[in-house]
This record gives sequence, C-alpha cells and structure tokens, in this order.
Amino acid sequence: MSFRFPISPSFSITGQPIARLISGDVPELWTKRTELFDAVLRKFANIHEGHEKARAIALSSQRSASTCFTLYLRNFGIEEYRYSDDPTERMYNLRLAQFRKEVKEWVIRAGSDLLSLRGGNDQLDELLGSGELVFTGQSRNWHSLAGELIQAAKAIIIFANDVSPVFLKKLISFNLYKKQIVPLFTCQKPPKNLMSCYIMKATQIHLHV
Amino acid sequence: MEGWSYSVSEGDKLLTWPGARRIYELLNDLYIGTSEMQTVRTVPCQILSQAELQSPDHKAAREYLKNVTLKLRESIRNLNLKSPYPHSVIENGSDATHPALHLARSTFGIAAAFEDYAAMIESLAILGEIYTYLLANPLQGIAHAEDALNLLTMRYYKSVRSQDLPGNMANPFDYARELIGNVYYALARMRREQGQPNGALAAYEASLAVRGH
Repeated sequence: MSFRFPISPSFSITGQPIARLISGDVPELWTKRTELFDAVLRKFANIHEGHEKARAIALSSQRSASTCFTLYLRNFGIEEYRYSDDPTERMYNLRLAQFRKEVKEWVIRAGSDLLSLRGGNDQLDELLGSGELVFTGQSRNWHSLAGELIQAAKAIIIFANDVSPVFLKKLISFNLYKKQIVPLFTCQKPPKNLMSCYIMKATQIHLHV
Repeated sequence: MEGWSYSVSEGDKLLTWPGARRIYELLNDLYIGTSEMQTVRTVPCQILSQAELQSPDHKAAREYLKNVTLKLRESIRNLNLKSPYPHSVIENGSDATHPALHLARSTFGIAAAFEDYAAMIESLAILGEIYTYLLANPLQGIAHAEDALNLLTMRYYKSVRSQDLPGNMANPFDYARELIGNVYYALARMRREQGQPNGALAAYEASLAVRGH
C-alpha cells in the first residue's frame, strides 16, 4: 500500500514535531525516533489536558459562585499579519502575543480564569502551550460551544483590528449585540489598522462601539 | 480609547498602563452568566479538522495503521514475542531492538499524529501486553520496567477518548489503570523471582493502587 503523508494545515512552527511525523519524516535512529514521538505525545497530551481543564472550569462556574471565567474568543484579523511577507508585520504578530499574555495575567490577577476557544481552522500556535486552558472545537460544534461559553462567561475578550462588517456579523451571530463592548487598549503605532482589545460585559444590554 | 505601548517587563512585575486597572474593576463589577452547557459537557477534543480526517490521504494512512496493528496482534497470538531478538533487549540496554515493541511504539506515535484513536488504543494495548509478557517471562528478555511504566503513564491515555474505546471499557482511565496494573503485577513477580522481596512488594502494592483496590 502506498500513500503520501499530508502535512496538516492545523500545525505550524510550534507543531513542527507533529508536522514531521505526519509528513513521514521519521528518524532511523531509535533514540531520535523516540524523542520525536515523545514530543508529539507531549503536545497532544497538553492539548487534551488543556481541553479537559477548560471544561472543568466552565462547568464549575455553574456550580460555584467562587469560580468564574473570562472567555477569549480569538484574534480577529491576525491572519493578515501571520502570513505577511513584511517582517515588520510578522513582528507585530509577536508583539500582540506578548500583549495578549499580559492581558491574560491581569485577568487571572483579577480572580478569573481565561478560557480560550480554538476553531477547526485556527492555527494551533496562537492559543496553545503547556497547561493553556483551550477548548479545541471543530466547525460543526464551534457555534454551539461558543454560544454556551459566551452565555456562561463573566466577560468576553476579543482582539480585532477594527469593528469591521465581518467582525460585527460574528458578534451578531452570537447575540453579542446585547452586550456592551469596551475597547480597552489601542496600540500606538501599529503597521496597519488600529488593534484593540475588546472586553464584552456579558451582563450589559447596550451596544457601544 | 486609552493608549498602550509595548515595553519590556522587569522581573515578575506586570506592566502597568492606564487601562490595566479597568480590567480588574470591570471583572469585579460583573456577574457570572448561566448556561446548560450541553455541548461543553460532551464536546471531544479533536485537533484535526473533519475535512482533513476524511481526506484520501488520511483514509489511506488509517487503513495502513489498521493493517499494522492487525499484524502485530497476529504476532502476539503466535508468540513471536519471544523471537527473534529477545536477548538483545538485555545486551543493548534498549527496548529498541525488540521488533514488536519497536513497531508498536512507532505505530502509536504515528497514530497519535493522525488522531487515529482506534490505532492508538490498539497499539497501546499491544504495548501493555508485550511489556507484561516480557516482565512475566524474564528469560525471554528483560524489558525495561521503567520504559514500560513511562510509556503507560496516564497522560498518554488522556489522548484516548471514551467513545473510541471498546464497549466494555467505557472509561479510558479504567482501561489505562488495568494495563498499568498488569505491568506492575508482572514486575512484582519478576522482582520476587529475582530474590528482591522489597521490590516485589512495592510493585505489587503499586499494582493494587493503580487498579484502585
């Protein structure tokens, strides 16, 4: 039987061991091969662990008033920077990752867990790391999963370049038009559009954009 | 809108910027929402997209992995575990030269990359059987107990979804416990035969603990 191993678009640079394995690039040397397998298994174990932890926190928030979570939906518009030929724009992507990390630290310091939701077409590297609380959903269940998490979340965080028609359409599809949108931060000198971090107050009923 | 500019954190201190305080205040002012969470309760962790999983390449890979695990099973039934290289496991200080171990572990790694849970479960079960056999029959070659237990650590089984398990093993952790318990038990017997009562007792107790007795 012959077949070629496809390289999954779900894996980028941080998924390199997985991409190697999927592409059939398996070392001959046993120790090297074991290292590669272990790297893949560690990554998968981390992803699954993060998924289960996120589930536990989400369910716990409905049972105990002392547990709450903030939902990080995604970085809308990040693709245009990730795949850019311009190294300055790719660097901008790294700066945003740092920015997101610091927002997360402040959310945690405020006593809330930050859960993330990864869709079927999202890259792994944006959200994943050791112990990250990430739901790994697929296209067929992403909307219902996001809807439930949005309802239960204390607040929702979205990064976006601007309030574009696509962005608004996404918000409306989740009935987020009933929430108050608070643009928190704006980078001073972004290479393209303004980049803002929005926190949506899940209990408010007015739209301010 | 409040401005934010990037700079480098110093030590453990977080950056401070005008908007930072607002996150704290905002979250403290809010209330938790409610949801039945029906999807959240049941949604499996699936990394590859459905389109990728159904591609001809993935189907071919799955068929290949299925054949590999079937052949491995046949080898176990025919007791080919004993040969042809049992002693090389001792001599080389590595499990790598045991062909069945080598193949089962490779199959597991590749199956994981393809999110082929059926092949992952089957190759893990085969690995558990091989290690148990080798530990119970030290004359056939002493498999490295540490390697066995490292391989069968619980976190690997977290990749196994309950809906992909055989019908009588609905809980992946029970399944994992049973396999790891088998390996510990075989290790206890081996230590006893080696005249190491303390090691035998420790392994036996570990076997009971893992199985939840």
